[in-house]
Amino acid sequence: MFHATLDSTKTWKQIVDALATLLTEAHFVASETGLMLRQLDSTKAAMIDLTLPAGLFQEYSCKGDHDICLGIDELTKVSKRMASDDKLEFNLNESEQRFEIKMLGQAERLFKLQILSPPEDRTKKPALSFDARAEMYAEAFKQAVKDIGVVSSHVKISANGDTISFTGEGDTGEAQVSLKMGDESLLYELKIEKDSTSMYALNYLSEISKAMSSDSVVLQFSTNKPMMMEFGIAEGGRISFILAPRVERR
Amino acid sequence: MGTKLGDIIKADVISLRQLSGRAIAIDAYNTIYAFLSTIRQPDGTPLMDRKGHVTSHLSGLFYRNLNLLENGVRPIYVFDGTAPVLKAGEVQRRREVRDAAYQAWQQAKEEGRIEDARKAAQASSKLTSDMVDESKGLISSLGIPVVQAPSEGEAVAAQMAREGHAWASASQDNDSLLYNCPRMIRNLTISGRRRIARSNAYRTIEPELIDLDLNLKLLGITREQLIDIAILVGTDYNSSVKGIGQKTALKLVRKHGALERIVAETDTKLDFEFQEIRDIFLNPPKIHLDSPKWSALEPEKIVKILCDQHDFSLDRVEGSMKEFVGSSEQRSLTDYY
Repeated sequence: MFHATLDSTKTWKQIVDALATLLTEAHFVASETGLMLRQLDSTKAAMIDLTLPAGLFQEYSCKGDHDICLGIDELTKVSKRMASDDKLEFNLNESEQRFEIKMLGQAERLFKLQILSPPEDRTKKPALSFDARAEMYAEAFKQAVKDIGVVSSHVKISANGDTISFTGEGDTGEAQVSLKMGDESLLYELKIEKDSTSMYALNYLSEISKAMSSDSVVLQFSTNKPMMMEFGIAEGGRISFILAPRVERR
Repeated sequence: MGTKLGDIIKADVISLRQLSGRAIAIDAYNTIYAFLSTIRQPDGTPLMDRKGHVTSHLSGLFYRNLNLLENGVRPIYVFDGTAPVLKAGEVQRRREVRDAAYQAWQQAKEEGRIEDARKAAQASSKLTSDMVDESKGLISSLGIPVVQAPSEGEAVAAQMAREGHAWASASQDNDSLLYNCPRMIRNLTISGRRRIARSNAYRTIEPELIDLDLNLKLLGITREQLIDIAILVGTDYNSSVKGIGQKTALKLVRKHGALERIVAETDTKLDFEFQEIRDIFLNPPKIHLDSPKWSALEPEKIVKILCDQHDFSLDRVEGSMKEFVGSSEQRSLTDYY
C-alpha cells in the first residue's frame, strides 16, 4: 500500500513541471523511504534523478516497493486543476491499478489516473566522476543559457582558475558569459581538479533550466563528458539532471 | 514486394532525434531501390554521369547517410544474398514488370506524357552488380558497417535486432516482422517532402516505428499466426489466395488458429506447400555476427567514387563532408555506463 499527503500544491506542481521538461511518462518507485524517480529521456541524451524523501510529505506510509508509472500529460492536466490552497492526498489503488490524487479544499475532488506498465528495467546511474564543480545562483545560469541562445544552439562551458565561462558561436556571431569568484559574485563556489571544457546542446539546457525552482544550482562536469546539474526541489527533495555532451566529430 | 499488412499493423511516427544513439539495421536493397526510383528528373530520367551510368543510388546513399549520422543514428547496411528457391517466380515477375515499365517509360517520354513517363520510369529501376559493389564501397567509406546476408537481408536484420546488435531494422517491407524483428522502422531513408503523383501538392513522409510485440498483443495473435496471415495475403514466395484480404485473413486465423485448420474447416484451398514458406520465416539461415563498428569518414575514397568515377561536383561533395565533420555530435548517456 501507498499513502501520502502534501499541504502545498505549489510543491507538487514544481515536481510535475520539472519532470515534464524531458519526459512523457513518469516512472516513480515508491518505497518506505520515499518517492524516487530515475529516467532517461527518449533520446537517451539526458537523465532525471529525483528523490522525494518521506519527510517531505506530511503523512507518508508505504509497505513494500511499488512501481507507479504515469503519463506526464495526464499528471500535468490534473495539476492544473489544483487550487493554490488545496491539500493533496495520494493513494495507490492496487486492485484497480489507479493512482488516486485527492484535492481537499472547498470541495473534495478525486482524480484516478491509470497506471501504465512500467519499463522492464529500472534505470541505473552512469558511472561518472567530475573534474569541475561550480555552485552558482540559479538565475545566473538561466540567463547565461539564454544569452548563448542568441547566437548558437550549443554552449561550451569551461572551468579554469577562478572562472566559469559559457561561450557559443553560430553563423551570425559569438557570445561569451563569464562568472568569476569574488565578493558579491553570482558564483558561490568553484572547485577545479583539472581545467575542463565541454559542449552541451542548448535545447536540453533551456528545458532543464525551466525546472530550476531553487535559488542555487550545482554544476559538475569534465572535459567532453556528461554534466550533472543538481538543485533542491519541493522543500526537502533533490533533483539532478545529467546531460551527455556534444563532441566534435573526428 | 514483401507482404502487404499495412491495414492491420499499427505504426507510430518517430523522429530522427528519437533514434539518436541507436543502431539501425537497414535493408540495403530496399533502400537502394527506393533511391533509384525516386531520385529522378520530372520525365523519369535518373541521375547519370557523363558515361551514362546511373548515379541516383550514390547520391541518395551519400546525402541521406550523412543526414542520419548527423542526427546521431548509427546505420548498418544489410545486403541480400542468394534468394530462396521459392522466390524464383517473384524474381521473374519483377523482371517482367521492370522490362514492361521500361518500354512504357520510353514510349511515354516520346509521346510527351511526362507524368506517365516518370511513373513508369520509377518501376523500371534496375540494380546491377556493379552498382551493388560501388554502393558497398561508398557505404564503407562513410564509416558505416556493411553486412552480407546468406539469403534474405531482412532475416539477418531481424537477427541483429534480436541479438542486440541493432535496436531496430529499417525497411519498407513488412517481412522484417515475420522474421521476428522486435522493432521495424519505415520511411527511415525516404522521409521528407514528397510530391503527390499527378498533382502539385506535397506531403511529408515521416519515419514510423512498428513494435512487433505490441502489434501482436493488439491483434491477439502470435507471430506464427501473423506468418499464416501473410501467406494468405501473399508473400514473395506465394501469390495471394483469391478473395482473401488482410482483414479476412486476420479473421480466419483468429477463428481457426492456423492454416491447416483453415484448409480443413473452410472452403479455402492452398495449392502450394505453405510449410516451406513458413519455414523461410521461422528458420532462416543464421550467421555469426560481430558487434558493428562505425568509423570516421574517408573523404579521399568518397571523392574517388563520387567525383572521379561518377562526375559529382567536387565542391558540393567536399562542402557536405566539411559541414558534417565540422559539426558536433550529441552523445548518448548510454555511452557512459
